Amino acid sequence: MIKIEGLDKSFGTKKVLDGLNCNIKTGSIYGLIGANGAGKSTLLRIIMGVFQKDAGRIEIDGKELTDVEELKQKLVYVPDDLYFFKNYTIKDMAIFYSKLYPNFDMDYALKLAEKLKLPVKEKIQNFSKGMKRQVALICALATNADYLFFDETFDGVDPVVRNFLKKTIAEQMTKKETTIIMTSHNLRELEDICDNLGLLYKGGILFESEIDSLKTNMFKIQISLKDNFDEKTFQNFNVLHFKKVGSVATVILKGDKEGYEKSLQELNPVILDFLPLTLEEIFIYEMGALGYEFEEIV
Amino acid sequence: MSLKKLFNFDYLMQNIKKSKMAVLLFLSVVPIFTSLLIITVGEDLLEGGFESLGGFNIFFMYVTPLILSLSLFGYVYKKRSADFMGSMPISRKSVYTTNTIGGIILIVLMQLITLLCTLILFGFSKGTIFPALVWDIFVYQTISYIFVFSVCNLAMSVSGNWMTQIVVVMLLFFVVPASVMFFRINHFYDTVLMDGDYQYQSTIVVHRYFNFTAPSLLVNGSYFFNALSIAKMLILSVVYFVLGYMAFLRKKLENAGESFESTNIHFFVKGLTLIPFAMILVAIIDAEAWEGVWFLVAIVAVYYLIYDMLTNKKTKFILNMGVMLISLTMLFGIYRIIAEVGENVVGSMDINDIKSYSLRGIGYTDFYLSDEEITDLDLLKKVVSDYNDNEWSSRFVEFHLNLKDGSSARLTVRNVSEKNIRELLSTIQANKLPQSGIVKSHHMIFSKQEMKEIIAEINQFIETNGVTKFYERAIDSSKDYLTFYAYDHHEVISMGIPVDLTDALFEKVTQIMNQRVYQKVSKNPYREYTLHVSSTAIENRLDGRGYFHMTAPQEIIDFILNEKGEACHDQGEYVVLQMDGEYYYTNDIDTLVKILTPYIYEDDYFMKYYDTYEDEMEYPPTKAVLDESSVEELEEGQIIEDIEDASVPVSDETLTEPVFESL
Repeated sequence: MIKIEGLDKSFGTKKVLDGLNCNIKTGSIYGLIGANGAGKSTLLRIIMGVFQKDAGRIEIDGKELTDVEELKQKLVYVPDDLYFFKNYTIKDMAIFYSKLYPNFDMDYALKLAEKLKLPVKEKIQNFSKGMKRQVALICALATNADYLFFDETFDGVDPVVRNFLKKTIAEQMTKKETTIIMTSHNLRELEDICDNLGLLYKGGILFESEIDSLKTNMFKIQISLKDNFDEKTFQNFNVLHFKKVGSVATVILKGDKEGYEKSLQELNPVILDFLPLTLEEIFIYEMGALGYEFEEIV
Repeated sequence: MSLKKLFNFDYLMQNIKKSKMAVLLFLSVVPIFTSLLIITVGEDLLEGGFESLGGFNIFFMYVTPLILSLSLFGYVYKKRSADFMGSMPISRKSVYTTNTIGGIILIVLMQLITLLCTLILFGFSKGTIFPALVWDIFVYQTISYIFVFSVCNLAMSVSGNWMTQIVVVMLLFFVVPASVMFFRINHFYDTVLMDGDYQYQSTIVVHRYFNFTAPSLLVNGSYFFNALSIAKMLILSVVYFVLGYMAFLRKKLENAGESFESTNIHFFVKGLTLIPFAMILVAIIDAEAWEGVWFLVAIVAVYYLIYDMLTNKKTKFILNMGVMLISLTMLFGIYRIIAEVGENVVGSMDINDIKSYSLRGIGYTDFYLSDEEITDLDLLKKVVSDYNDNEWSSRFVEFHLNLKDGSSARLTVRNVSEKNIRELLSTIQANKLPQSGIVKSHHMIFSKQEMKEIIAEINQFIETNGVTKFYERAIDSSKDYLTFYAYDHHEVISMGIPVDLTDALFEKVTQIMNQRVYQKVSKNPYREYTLHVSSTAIENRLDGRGYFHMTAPQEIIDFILNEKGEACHDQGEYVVLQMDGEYYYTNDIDTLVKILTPYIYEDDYFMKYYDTYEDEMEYPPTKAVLDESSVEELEEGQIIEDIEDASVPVSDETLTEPVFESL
């Protein structure tokens, strides 16, 4: 488990992280979203020891994270701006990782590269952006580290490979109880893989929740009643959003879906459809409920 | 911290692997080039010390450790590489110590390869070199490289890009030596010699050597093996390592690519780079060349803007210029004060602070002495008290002083007469100093007994000091003696043996000398020829010209050769004749004046004043002294071998009077 308390970081006079608190459960995939410059990469760099924190405490499995090799071997990081040594091949990079990560699985790395049809003997500098990203993810996964930090995880990767990698990452998490922290400024990229989501805003986690819980507590309906109706008709419900076009209204409700369904049926609706909510919509309405405009945040 | 955490071999190997081309070059080009340099310089090393290795060696000493530091630590200067390497499971402590130890191992390896290459190359060449000297070069170079490497690493720890690193390295190397030099240039360079409250006469000059660290030392001095410099470098290497280590642990990688996080530090460091400009400004203002001030300020302003571009730091123009003017003014003030203090402070050194000394040379004569250390201070006091007069003479006695504080100095006692030089030598001989090795030149007359003693000393010197073979200088036409060298206690001991000590040796060398003289004459259509007169009386007889530089008419050459150096020139009036850098003395003033008079009064074409000599290069060629055909057969290597063959052991049985007829 990763526990972060009161983390501060400033660059000159600009405060990037301001008393950030966060808890990331072991064996989960944690999605960290936020606008560009929100501090996502900074947070990861601090955890990885690239940057030094100004204040606060980070714990990994109950131990304070310090610049100690044994602790750092539990963590692996794929930055948003990738770096490879000049003239290195995938195998060279894998060897590099294997020398620093004692649990590095060379066979696994090479097999993954083969599956992704990456030329093992070719210099990485000649690869496309997406291929480079794949190499970095392969090396990181093969380290068998307990905590994987991926910054802008699938940037430049095509949809087919993206799905494959998502599947692989999920397998890794299930098989080895790995904790994965992924950042993105694009919520859609994370919604089908993350268990938990945290929204970084103004140097702190503004909102943090399990995705399942979000999805079960919030739902969207399309409804039409025989009689004329408006938002007041739903005053006994927790309405996050109401929009009526003609005789059909789209309503976002927060609460117990089963209980609400029963109550809605009692209104004798002409039309009552439960529609799926995207994660983005959930965030938009959650943020709206908290008094923020989601578009301003992400 | 465990050893494994201090030195992570796997990390080092990977770090080296990624820069394998640089490391390969580092381990091949530098050793090959340096060893070739040592071989090429060869025997000049015996005369000039490390300085004779020249600018390339200094260049390598600066650049190689810098490249090594950049190869090992360069990732800190780019955000991408800093992200990648910084996130790897190795602590910063381990990174710094591993890279530093690894760098030192590479430096030692590189120097060992250099040592090996040098010895191998010397094996193939016929040059004269001492293994002990090569070893000392190895030790000195290794420590110097490690020192420079530690400076580079400290600079890396505090800098945000490689340009700033270079600036910090240069500041660490040069601020102190440049300031000291600037201070000493203003008359503090030479100090007076004191004995308690008593000050010796101004004709006695003490020149303190600098004990800077390398490479500054190699720019400012020519030491062979400066123990103080080595000690400084070792201590400073440790200090810089600790400082660099501490700075590296606190290093903010978020500033990668930018000179310094703090603008104030950026301005401070940039300000320090104005020191050379401030020194120039002091000189300009002292010379009252006011237009130069504005020109300099304009140059500095442009430099300030370029500096920001190169070190990737954005500063506001007005602020930048304001800080520039303040920095330049402040530095000008500081260096003006230093100059003022330097002009007014007279340095002094107490004779009692001398630990030991050795006689390094007697100017204007051809004595060569061994460098045996003398600890008898009373003798030195007697020398500087007794052998110092106000009579003009270009003769001087020079001592090398080892001071009690570990530093060293050169003591020059000027205006010493020939008579007093002899007395000094007698004093030294009378004190029976071991290995004093006084050698006779064919211009100085010794008694038979003295010569026997000298020869005995020479033989003992050769035996005890393991002198290898004589030096090529024997065939230098300007000196007709052989010079022997030994390398002992990290110093070169030299000894000249006049070629007239053995018939066989003399004959051979004279023969070669003649050929050499011809070669020189063939290349140079004139002979150097100067006269030094001992009194104004002779000067008047020579049309008031006391110092001439002219072509040598055959009559003069004949006159010199017939003199045989037998004139007792310290008695009465005498004239010193110099031809091709060699000195000849005569008391036969009348004959000389008779020979010279036609050239002075009748044919000005052959006689030129010394001060206009440089402009008068189109002299007619002098007659060749040898038959051209005998020279063509000669080759350089053959000459050396010939001399080596002729180098028979010296003994009093083979001693003859000097023979110069064959010249």
